[in-house]
Amino acid sequence: MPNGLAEARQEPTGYTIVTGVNDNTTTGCAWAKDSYGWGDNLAKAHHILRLQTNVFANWTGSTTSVTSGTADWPTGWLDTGTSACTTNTITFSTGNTDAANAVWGLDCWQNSKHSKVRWTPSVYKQIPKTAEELAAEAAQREIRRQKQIRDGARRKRFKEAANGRARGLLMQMLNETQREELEKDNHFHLTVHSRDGSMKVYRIDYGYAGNVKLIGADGKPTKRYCIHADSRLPYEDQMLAQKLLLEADEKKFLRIANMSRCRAA
Amino acid sequence: MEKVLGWEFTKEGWSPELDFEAPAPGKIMFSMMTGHGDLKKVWNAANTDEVEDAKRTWDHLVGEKRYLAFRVGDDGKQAEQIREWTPAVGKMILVPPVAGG
Repeated sequence: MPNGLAEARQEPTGYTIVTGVNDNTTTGCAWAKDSYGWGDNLAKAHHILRLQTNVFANWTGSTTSVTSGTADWPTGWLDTGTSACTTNTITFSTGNTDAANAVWGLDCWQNSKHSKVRWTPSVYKQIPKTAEELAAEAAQREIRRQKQIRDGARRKRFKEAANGRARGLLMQMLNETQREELEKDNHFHLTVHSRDGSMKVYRIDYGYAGNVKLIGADGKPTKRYCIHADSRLPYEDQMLAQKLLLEADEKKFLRIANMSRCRAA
Repeated sequence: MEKVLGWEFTKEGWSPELDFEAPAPGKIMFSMMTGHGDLKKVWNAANTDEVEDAKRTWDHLVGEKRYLAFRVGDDGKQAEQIREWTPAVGKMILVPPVAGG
């Protein structure tokens, strides 16, 4: 933002501004953004500053420590570099016991133009909540928690009902041997008579993707096929769709499905 | 109206409770996969109005929504894909479009 000053800053929720009337007074370039300070029960004041690239800054306030940032901060210039980085973040704290009276000030220059910006970040203190507010918040949390439990139970019942119906339909479409296989092994075999007169055996495993296997003469899977309808369908519906298409139009099934070879054991 | 796999669906006449297994002489019966379990609807093949309604349903699902229709028998009998509407008596399962995964 070389032509204007910093973006409007937003107080953190639950904090009130106690100083900072001199925010973002500018004489030129604007590159300090998303910056704010606040008091933590007035015991300690923190400040976070993000600097864009190509910026030098010098701390002139009453800070006593730097919790992160460059090693020479705040005693020297901070060079944020001239590379393609977009922002740097420096966090420092004063250790003041009364953040409301902390003096915050920052002199910043853009190195290319040397246009100076005087910038004093706001200091916020947390607004203590009343007992009523705390109780209301707790009540709201409990209402949300109860709703989550109810929604979860409803989703579970709904899914179980859908799965049950899908399984019922699949079972109706299987012969006795296939039903037993599905109950016992969670898959069933399907013999398909191809148009060329050959006969192939497929195994449809419980699942919906990559679960159709072509079975070789040795009884082991040789190829795996991935084909399915909308993924919101229960697995049993997907398996039935695979069975129906394989039986009715194997050629189409093979044309649509993605095939991969099974590794030899 | 309710959502079936993302599209608006008028549920009138459809039910999850119809017995798809029982013989349905003189009936056209659809079972449509919905994501909530299948829904079924049955028409009287001797009633012209009902057959017309069945055809409209077919046109919507198979024609517009690209569902696949399979005529099925009982007890694992081989399915047959039906591509053109024929007002024939029987049970059909309607499957949403499939794709390679």
